[in-house]
Amino acid sequence: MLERRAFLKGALGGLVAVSAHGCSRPAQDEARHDPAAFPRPASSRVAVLRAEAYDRPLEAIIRDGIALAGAEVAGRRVVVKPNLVEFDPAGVINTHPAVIAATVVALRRLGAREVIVAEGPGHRRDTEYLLDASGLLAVLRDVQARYVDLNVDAVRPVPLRSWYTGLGPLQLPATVLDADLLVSLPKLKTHHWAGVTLSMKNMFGIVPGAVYGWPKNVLHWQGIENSILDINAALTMPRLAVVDGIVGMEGNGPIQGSAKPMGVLVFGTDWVAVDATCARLMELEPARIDYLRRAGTFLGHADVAQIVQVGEAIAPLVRPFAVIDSFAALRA
Amino acid sequence: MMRAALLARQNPDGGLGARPGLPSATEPTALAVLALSFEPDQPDTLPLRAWLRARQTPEHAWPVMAGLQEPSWTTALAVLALARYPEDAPLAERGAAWLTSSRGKTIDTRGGLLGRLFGATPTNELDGTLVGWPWVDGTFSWVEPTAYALLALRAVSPPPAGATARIAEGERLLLDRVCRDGGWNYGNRRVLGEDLWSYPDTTALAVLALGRRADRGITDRALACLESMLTRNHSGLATALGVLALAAHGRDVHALRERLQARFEATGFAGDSRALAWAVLASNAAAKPFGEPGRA
Repeated sequence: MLERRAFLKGALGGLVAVSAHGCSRPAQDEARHDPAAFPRPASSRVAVLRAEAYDRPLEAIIRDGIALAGAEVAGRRVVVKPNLVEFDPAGVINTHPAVIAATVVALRRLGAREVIVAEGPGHRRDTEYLLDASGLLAVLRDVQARYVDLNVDAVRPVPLRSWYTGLGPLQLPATVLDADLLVSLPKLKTHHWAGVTLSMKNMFGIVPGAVYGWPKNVLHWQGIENSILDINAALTMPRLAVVDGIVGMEGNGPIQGSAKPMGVLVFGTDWVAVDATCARLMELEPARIDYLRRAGTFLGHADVAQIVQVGEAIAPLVRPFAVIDSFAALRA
Repeated sequence: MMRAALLARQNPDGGLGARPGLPSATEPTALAVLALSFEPDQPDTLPLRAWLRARQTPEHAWPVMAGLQEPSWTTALAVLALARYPEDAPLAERGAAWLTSSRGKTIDTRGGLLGRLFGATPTNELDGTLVGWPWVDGTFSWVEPTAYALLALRAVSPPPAGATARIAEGERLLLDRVCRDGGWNYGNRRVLGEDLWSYPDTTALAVLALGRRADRGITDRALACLESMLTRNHSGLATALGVLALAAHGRDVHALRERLQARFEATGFAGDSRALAWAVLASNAAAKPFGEPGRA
């Protein structure tokens, strides 16, 4: 008789491989990109700063973090892409509005020419409701920031620079493509199909639902990890990540997990290095997270040896995140 | 006021963008045609319809927006709109034929049943073999595009070959996807052992698409779920679709219609042209856009 543990592993793997989200788990390890097209610096800097609560002043911390990360902001047209995917009054699904507002103000103080907040929610098509219920609408009014719904924005074709999904050119929103600096502003969360959702997975939200369906269904059929790689590889503008880890989400993320207070914000211009650092904060092993392992071979640095850690030391801030059974192997 | 705002959003090319200032797109343009077609004084929809006519693809489908060529889920909405006008009926009929050939992919959920024998938490609890309509060809069937397709195929007379069977299976799919609370999420009802919650917009669309073909108990639960959600969600889209679904089943929607108008004055529905078009339709008490719910 099939040993129970072995069966469960296989059965769950198969289910995740072809779920109703159409998630196909990639098994490919071969490189499907031209390494010469992705030059990497010798090392990448990641800043981890303490931020204890959403009702404390955050703008100065975020300004410090951006400066420590070494991002060039002055004179740029900046698009801030938070994670706004769903709303649950009892949950912690989205990037907190206070972090979004503080980031907008910080970017302006650092000399940004324009700051736009833009997202293409992956679940809800009712953007008016989502903005209102999440509290983001009120915050955007306070800081007088324009919001763009990326699900229905004008699009332009963007050629892929890696070929993990098998998709042709991606139709991406003009608002994102016209950015001089793209800021990924995700929540620190586990994800029941990808293991974690951080600054790179957050880019699913720039893929327009009107063209690719909800919940960005084409990407799920092509494999979530493959899609993370191809979308991120296709982006050529300067980038910055600001990860909302003040309160993260553990367990059955990205929607139905539990709140996990962490009291940190994480900054960096190399999203692979940022996500790897976040995984370590969650006590998950980056090399066992499929997309991070592969991204670390060409899109940035996942190896701690190539990451220059500034700000707070990680060790005292690490708190183990609960993961669903199928991701138990991610534990460091 | 809402109708004037809708007409004022027309781009120079005749179509409507999803938001003011955006390129014309099939969904808001088709919904505007649908809404205006029920107005008693018959406003001029010709520029809007001309935009739609010019965008029908060689496959007789419609793309998502100007500049794109691929057939898309918005075909159902274009069919629904153009079927209202006899001179456009041939385009609608050809679009309906394409729609009949568009199929969502199926998934094998048998692994889930075996997994349950071993105590594993199933990934999804739905019948993945049922075929409805996807957002994008080659992907899974979801509630919203399936609801649009059902409404569109019923709007075309006579229905294209094969439509009757597709409609019946689409209805079964919607009934398979009912959430525990009685409404509809975007496509699943339960994932990894957790119930998903319903949305008012998808619930209203599913109710409209099923009409009275669902058991009375299912419809009553869905309407109760919808009414409950509308106490918390006041958006233009949710309220407009809620009004249409509730009114189709004889519920008193007078207060909701007033709320819809007040909401538009307060928020402009965050610029959402789709919500505005649905709101124009929902505000028209004389309109029965999807026929009598009991009529198959």
